[in-house]
Amino acid sequence: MENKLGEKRMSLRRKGRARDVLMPLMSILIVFVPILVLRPRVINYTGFNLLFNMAIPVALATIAQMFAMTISEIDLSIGNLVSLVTCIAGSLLPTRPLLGILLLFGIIAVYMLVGAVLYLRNLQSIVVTIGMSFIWTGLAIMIQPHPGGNVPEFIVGAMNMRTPVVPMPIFFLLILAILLHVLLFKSSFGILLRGMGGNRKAIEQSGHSMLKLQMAVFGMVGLFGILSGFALAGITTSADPNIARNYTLIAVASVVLGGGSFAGGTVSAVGVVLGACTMTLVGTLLTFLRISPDWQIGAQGIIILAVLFINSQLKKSGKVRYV
Amino acid sequence: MKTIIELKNISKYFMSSRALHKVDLSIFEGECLGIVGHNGAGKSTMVNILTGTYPPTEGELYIDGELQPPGFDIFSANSQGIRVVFQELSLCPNLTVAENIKVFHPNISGFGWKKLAREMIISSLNEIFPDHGIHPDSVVSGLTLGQRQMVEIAKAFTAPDKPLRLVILDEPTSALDHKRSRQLIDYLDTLREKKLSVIYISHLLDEVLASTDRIVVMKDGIKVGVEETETSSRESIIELMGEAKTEAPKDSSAETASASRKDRSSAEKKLVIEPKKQNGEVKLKVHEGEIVGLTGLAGHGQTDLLIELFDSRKNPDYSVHAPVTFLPGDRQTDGVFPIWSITRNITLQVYNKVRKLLLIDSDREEDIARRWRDEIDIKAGSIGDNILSLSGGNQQKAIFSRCLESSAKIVLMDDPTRGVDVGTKEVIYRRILKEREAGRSFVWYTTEMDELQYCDRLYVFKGGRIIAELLASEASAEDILKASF
Repeated sequence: MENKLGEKRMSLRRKGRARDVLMPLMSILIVFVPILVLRPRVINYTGFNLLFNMAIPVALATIAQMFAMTISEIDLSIGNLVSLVTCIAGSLLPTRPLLGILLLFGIIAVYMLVGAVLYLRNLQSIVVTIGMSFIWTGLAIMIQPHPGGNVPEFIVGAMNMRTPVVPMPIFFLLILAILLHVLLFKSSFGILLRGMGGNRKAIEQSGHSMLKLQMAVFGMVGLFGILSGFALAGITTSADPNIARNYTLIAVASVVLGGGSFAGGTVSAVGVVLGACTMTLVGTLLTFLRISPDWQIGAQGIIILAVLFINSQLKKSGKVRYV
Repeated sequence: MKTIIELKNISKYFMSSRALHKVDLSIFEGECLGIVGHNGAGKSTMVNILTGTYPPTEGELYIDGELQPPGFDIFSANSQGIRVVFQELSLCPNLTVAENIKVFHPNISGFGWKKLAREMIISSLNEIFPDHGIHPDSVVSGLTLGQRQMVEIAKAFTAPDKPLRLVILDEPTSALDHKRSRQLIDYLDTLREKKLSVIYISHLLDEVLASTDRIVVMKDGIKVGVEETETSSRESIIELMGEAKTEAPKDSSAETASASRKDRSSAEKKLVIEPKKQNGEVKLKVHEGEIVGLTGLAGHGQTDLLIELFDSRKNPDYSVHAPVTFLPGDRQTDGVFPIWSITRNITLQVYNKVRKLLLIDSDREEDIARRWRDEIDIKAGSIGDNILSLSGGNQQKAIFSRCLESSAKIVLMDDPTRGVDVGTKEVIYRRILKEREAGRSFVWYTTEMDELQYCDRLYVFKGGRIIAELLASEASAEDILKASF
């Protein structure tokens, strides 16, 4: 009897994991299918390249946010950081490369410091990172007051690489999802990271240093923020201190669309990348629908709410009933 | 016998309140030592000092005859082979069973960690709880409370690098059913040969008597006695705990329960709950002024039913004809509001009673809290104190008063006396019987057979369905066990 129960539970467990990805997958289909129907001409190498190009920096920023959200923290400065990095890439790297590189390492160090301070002083990340956002934007304006600059060729080249058969963005996002999955579910760091979101006390009692972990997690947030800034600079070929300010909330929304939660702990690598793609495609869909840019942000919000509503309904219907 | 750990003259004070006073205790190699006492008797404090969670205010701790330095902390205790299974579960609910083992042993690393962690937990589970049916890749939040506790216990007995010396089990069976508790006690028997010492803390005296070699009795922070288990009995221990009186009222209240039961079952009472759609042969029904017990093996759908009834109280298909309140069993996560005072925790369901226009009248609020403190004897310094300043049993009393203060005519109770001391239980039982006379109905899920004597009718659960309905006056423990298996 117990064995049967065990087997039944095992199959439920597998379904559970599949459902983690099912919902983000549904979300992206809800947005992607109408695009294909409205503009069948995008179904080719160049079309897909253009559609998913901007998903790369969004996905990287989303991953940065995901690291923070998995341990029940949040980074409200990620958009400002990404903007700053485009300025460093477009303005400092071509002229004073040493200073630029130093600054990039400095950013990661500051992020680790933020992680340490949050733990040692028991502060709330929502407050500390809002403070940080002003620092990042201030720095960016000092480096590059107006949009412009000259992004180095190796970054632009990397973002415009032509891969065989499958367009580079899709190729890139796929590899990103796989690497992230390995990091989250196969590595010690990933398990501790998720465990911290689930039950911090349990991790601490097992003898792990919360300080080191928190610093490592925030170091990852900084690292992926920098990567996102490079990717964005490579695509837009310009440095702009305000270019990515909406990334902060887009990243949060993408994590949630990807099945993550504010409470921490739950996360799916494939989900996060799909969530970022969904958020990128929403903008494209609205343009194809000829909705004026003035209305787009509002419409984007409505679409996200709708997708989240459908997801939560699906979740509910999965409930096991007894009576 | 060799002494492995010795406490000498240990005292612990929290602010002005005394948690432990001049306790001496020796733990021998390979023995199973029981610790019993009321909630608030100092058992948990003693455990926390042994495990280095916090330092004693005064006194000395020796391990293998060596005095431990003041910096003795949770990691030093761990490296000396001291482990504890806390009453509050310490698994990460979002990780799989194997991943939790990996987290617990930082030294398991490298490529084969998953395989190693799986093997470790499964062999430990197999040894303690044969045919446990738990898969190492199951996510913990998908397990029942009982299964989680099994994992928790099995986890404490895994030791990849250093040998274990002492495992402390604090209320290990509170979420386990009869069969699993039995398996655990059998397993503890085998540890003597392995020279592994165990401290077994439980409110269930029969289990302590069945599993230990010696029993330490605590009361108000003082060690009041050490008994050889062989020569002691339930009565002698209760006497030591200073609760000789509790046996008598228990019987009498049970008698009143059975006396009034007869006219209850024959009288035609109004139905207050009767869900239309139910799978399974036997249908749940609850009458006015009736105590309905939910039983069967732990985690077979009883809690789910209670939650479903509560969630669907407005759904006409469930025919819930009176206001409902819910008394949660897991008070740490579902019961207390940890940053609020005792008063707020009691009055939070009755804001209509304490409201003056749009604001809350703190005098009225305190009146209610004070009344309950006196009525069911909540042992609090001041009712304005934080709820967490109370011992576990008294926290549960506060939550109990919250439910009874509400105007709800139906109280759904999810194992409300889990991990609560005998005295508190008595208070709760008597109150439930009194409320029934006043026409309240109770749907009571309990994991303790003893509590079923207070019920009028019982429903036995198995695999998420009700499989039998029994009249409490006619059913024996064997009938229930027979129906459950």
